[in-house]
Amino acid sequence: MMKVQVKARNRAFGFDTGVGESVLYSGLRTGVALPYECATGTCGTCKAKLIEGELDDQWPEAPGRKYLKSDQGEFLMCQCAAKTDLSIEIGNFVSEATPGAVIPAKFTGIVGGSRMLTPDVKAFTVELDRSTEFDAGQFVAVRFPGIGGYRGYSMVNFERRTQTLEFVVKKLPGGGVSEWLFDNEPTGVELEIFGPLGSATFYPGMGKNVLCIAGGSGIAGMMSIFSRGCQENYFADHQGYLFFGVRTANDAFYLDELAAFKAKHPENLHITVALSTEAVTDEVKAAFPGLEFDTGFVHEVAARKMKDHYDNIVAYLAGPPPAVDAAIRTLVLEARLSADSIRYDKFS
Amino acid sequence: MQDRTLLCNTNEVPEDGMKQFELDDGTKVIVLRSGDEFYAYDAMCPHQEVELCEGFYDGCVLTCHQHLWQWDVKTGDMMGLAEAPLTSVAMELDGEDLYVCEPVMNRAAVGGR
Repeated sequence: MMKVQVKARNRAFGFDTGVGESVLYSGLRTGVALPYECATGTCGTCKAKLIEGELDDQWPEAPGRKYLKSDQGEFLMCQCAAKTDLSIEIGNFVSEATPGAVIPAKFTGIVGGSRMLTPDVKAFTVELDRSTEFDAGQFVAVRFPGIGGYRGYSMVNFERRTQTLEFVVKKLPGGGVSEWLFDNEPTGVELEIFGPLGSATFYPGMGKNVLCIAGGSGIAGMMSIFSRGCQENYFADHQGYLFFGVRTANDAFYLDELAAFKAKHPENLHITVALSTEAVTDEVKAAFPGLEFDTGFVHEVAARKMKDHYDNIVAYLAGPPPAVDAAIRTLVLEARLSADSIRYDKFS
Repeated sequence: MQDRTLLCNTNEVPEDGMKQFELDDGTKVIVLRSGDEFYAYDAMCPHQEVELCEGFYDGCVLTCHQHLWQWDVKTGDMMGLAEAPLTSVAMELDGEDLYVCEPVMNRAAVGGR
């Protein structure tokens, strides 16, 4: 065990860290709410400045390094482990984890099963070595054996306390983990998991209408949010708007599940599948009478249909970074939502 | 008299818009226009190494697209989620030309990093 001393903008913290363990994960699991978003090397949010000590950078090519001033000793806490005791500085305000929040921890998981949802989208479940709680909209960092570092996956399911997590992955050419998942039957494979993570969370106490805009596999966290909302009857007296963007009707998935949400609260749920490259056929429309279909990029479709419905709303965004950025632009400039009512975890 | 460097012509900055300029020494400055008033700041977000010109500006409020930090462009003061103000750039308007004055960034004045 080594010691990490953190000097944040507002106060100081200290915690222990193990060999090969990222500085970020060791801080988070001891209840220090260090800044992060993706926790997997791409967003740059967890940058810190090394004052004293030696680091082991486990991913020197991490894309998030482009946000660093490395000549000033800045590093990504999610990718660096301590080789000696460390003294580091963080420019942000840092607090202790909010009382009642689930403190992230390390788990071992076994892949329980997988199924293809479309030719390039696969769902899989993981059984954890013990149960955990998580908030709807959260994700975990997952490390597959022999394929580099952690990747972030949002939970699709929602249960108050569970050992089973459900994920969805899109096949990305050249994506190490996604290619491996599609080329292999992952059932029974043992994974390292750290979480739960992420602040784009939904909880019924907030009492707001809910707008979800998701592209592709970004639908995962939205499924969790709508699951919780339906389980706890939230949509009996709140509006829920969900926009799910895919290229064609053949690329869409979870339509049965979305239709089931709608059937539970037909008055207050409004679910639209946005097809970016084609118009919907009458057959698809007839198969899912509860769902609406539209043509265009998901943020454009959402902007069109949400006009005059932004009252008392919290917006959740997920998906490919260009889609998320376009949705943010619409919500800030056109809908004039305040920044704190737009929730997403930056993965780039 | 203070040293000053020509930054741009006011016509180059669209009404209620913004544009980034680079000085000979590589310093990047963002100029924002609000009606007929012009404001200049360090072009990089005070949070991370992100160019503010990639963000959103409605003529009053500047939003960084990365983490939605926001500022009142007239003062550089933080709004909403922002945890640090913008770093102002000393500037003067001479006819239709905008000049930056030396020293360009008055970092000490913002008390930040």
